[in-house]
Amino acid sequence: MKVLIVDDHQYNLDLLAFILEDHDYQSCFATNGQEALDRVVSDASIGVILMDVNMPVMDGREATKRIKEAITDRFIPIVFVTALDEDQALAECLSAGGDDFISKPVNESVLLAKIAAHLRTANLYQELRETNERLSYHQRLMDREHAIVEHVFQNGLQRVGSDCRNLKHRISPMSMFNGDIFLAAPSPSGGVYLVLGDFTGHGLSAAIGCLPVADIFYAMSNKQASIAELATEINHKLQGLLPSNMFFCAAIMELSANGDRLSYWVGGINDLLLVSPSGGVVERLQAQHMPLGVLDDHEFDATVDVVNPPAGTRVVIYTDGIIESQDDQGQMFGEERLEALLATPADCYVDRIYEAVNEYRQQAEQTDDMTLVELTCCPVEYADGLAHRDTGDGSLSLPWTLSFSLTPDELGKPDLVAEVVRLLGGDVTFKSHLDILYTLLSELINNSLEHGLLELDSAIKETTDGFERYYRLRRQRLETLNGGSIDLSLQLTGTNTNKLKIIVSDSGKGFDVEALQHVSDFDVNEQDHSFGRGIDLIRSLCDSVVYSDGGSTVTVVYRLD
Amino acid sequence: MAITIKTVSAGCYEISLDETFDFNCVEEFRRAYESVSVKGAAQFIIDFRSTHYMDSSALGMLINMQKYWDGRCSDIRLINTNPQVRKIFAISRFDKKFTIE
Repeated sequence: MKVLIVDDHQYNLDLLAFILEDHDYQSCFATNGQEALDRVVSDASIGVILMDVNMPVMDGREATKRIKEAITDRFIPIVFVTALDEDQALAECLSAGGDDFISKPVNESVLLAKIAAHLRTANLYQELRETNERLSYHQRLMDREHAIVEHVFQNGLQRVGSDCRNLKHRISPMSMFNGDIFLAAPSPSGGVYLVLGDFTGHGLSAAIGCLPVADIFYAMSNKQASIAELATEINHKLQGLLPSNMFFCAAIMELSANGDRLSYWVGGINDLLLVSPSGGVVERLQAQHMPLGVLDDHEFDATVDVVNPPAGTRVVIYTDGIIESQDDQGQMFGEERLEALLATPADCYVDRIYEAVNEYRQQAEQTDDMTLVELTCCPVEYADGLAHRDTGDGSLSLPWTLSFSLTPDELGKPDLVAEVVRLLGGDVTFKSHLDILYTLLSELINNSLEHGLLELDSAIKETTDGFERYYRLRRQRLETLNGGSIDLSLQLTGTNTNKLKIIVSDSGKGFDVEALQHVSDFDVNEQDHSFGRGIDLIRSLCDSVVYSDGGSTVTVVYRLD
Repeated sequence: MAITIKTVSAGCYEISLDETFDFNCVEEFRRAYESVSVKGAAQFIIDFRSTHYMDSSALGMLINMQKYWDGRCSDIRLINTNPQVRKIFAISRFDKKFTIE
C-alpha cells in the first residue's frame, strides 16, 4: 500500500514519510497539485493521498477535484493536511472531494489511525465494486440465456396463435416466462384441439414443462389422437420429468368439426363455464381429475367426458390469475364477478373479462399469470380456410415403377395392402393420398383375388348372413388355394410425375367385363345393397379404368394433384 | 383388430374402430352392434378417429348395420372421419344415408 504525500515544503514531505515508513507504509511524493494528479493517474498502487492545501501551480482543492474526476474505477481517500482552522476553508476542502483532514502540526497516532480508517473504507469500496461487477456479469449472462430460451420457446410454442375462428384468447405473463400455456391445433377431421393449463409456480422453472407438453400436443393432434390418449401421454411425460412438488393443472379438449361435440379431460383447473348464446352460465364442467404429472401410469384416470352444447354456446376457460386478481385492498376478483360478466351477451367475453379484471386491479400488482380462452361451439373454421395442411414442399419425385408378384401365401396376409401403402408413405407426394390409395388398392386386389382367383360370386352378399358367408368362403378358398398369382405394378408417371398408374393382373379366368359394367350402372337410389360399390368407387377415384385380357387385367390411373 | 363398444348414456352407444376397417372386421363389427339389447337403442355413434384404411366391405358393413336396426334405431352417426375417409363416403353417397361428422 502506497501513500502519496503532496506538499510544496520538503520538510513536511520528509516528516510525513518518516512517520509512515516507521509503520511499513511506502510513500511517494508530489510537490504540487498537478504533479499529484499525474502520479495518481500513472500509479495504480497509490491507496491514500495526504494533501496540502496551498501549493503553487495547482492547489490542493483543485487537485482533489481533478483526481476524483479522473479516478473512477477505485476509491482513493484524500486527507487534507492543513494548518487552516477556519471552518469555511475546511468545508471547501471537503466539498472539493476531500474525505477528511488532519491539522498541522501532525499528531502521529491520529495520522496513523485516520489512514487505517480510510483504508478500511477503501477496501469496503473495492469489495462492493467487485461484487457489483460479478452481479452485473451474472445479470448479463441471465439476460442472454433468457433471450436464448425465449427464442426456443417462441419456436416451440409458435403455433399458439391458432388461426381458428372459433377461438379467442388472452395470455398475460407475470414474468417474461409464465407457467400458463395455451395451445390449439386443427384436427385432421376438421375440428380443433386445445390445451389450457397452469404449471405450479412461475417463471422459467414453471415454463420449462411447456415444451414437452407442446411437442406431445402437436404431434398427437396431428394424428387425430383421442383426448384420453393425449392426457395419458402428457401425464406420463410430465410424471417422469417434473419434481414431485410441481404439476400441471389443465383442460384438454376437442371440438368436433361441426361444433356440436365437445370432449374434455379436466384436471385441477377451475370449472369450465358454458355460456348460452343469450348470456348466462348454463352449465359448469367440473374438473374430474387430479392435475397432470402427479399419478403413475397405472393410477392415472384418462376418462373423458362429452357434452353436446347447443350451437353458439361459448365455453369460457380461465386460469387462477383471473379470479385471484386483487384490488389495492387485497380483495380478490372472485367467481361471482366473473359470472356476472357472463350474464349478458357479448361479442367477445375474453375482452370483456380482461378489461374488467384490469380495471378492478387498478394499480395493484399482478400476482399470477392470467390466461383466458373462449371457444365458440359452431362449425369449426380456420382463417386460411384449411383445417388440414399438408407439409409437402411440392417438389415431385422421379418417375419410378414398383412391382409385386403375389402368391397365395402373400395374398393371405391381412395387412398386405397396408404394407404397400406404408411403402408409398415414404414419398411426401403421397402423404395426403394414402388413405384413398389404401381403399383403391384394396378394391383392385380384392376384385382380382375374389373374382379372378377364388371365383366368388358377389351375389352371395345379398343378405346379411350371405355377406358373412361370402367372407368365410373367401377365407376357406384362399387357405386351400395352391396356385395362381396376382401381379401388381405401380408406376409414377405423367409430365409432372403427378399420376400413379396401377396395373393389377391375375392368373384367373377373368371377369365378365360386360356384367361388371352392368353392376356399375346401379341406380343411386338402389344403394341399399351391401355389395357392388367397389367398382363405382374405383371409377370415381380414378381418371381412367380399363379392363383388358378378358377382364383379368385392370389398369387405372390415379391423379396425385 | 379391436372394435370396442361402450355405453355413452342411456340408449346411446359408441363403437370405436381401429386403424383398418375392412373385410377382416366383418364378424367383429356385427357382433359389436348386435350385442346391444334390441329395445333400448336410440343412437349409435361410430368413431372413425383412428381409422385410415377402409375398403368397400366397410360400406357393406355399415349398410348391414343400418338394415339390422332399421325401424328400431335410425340415428347412426359416423364421427371423427378424416377428409380422405369422408371423400370415400361422399363418393358412395353415404352422406345421404348417415350423419357424418
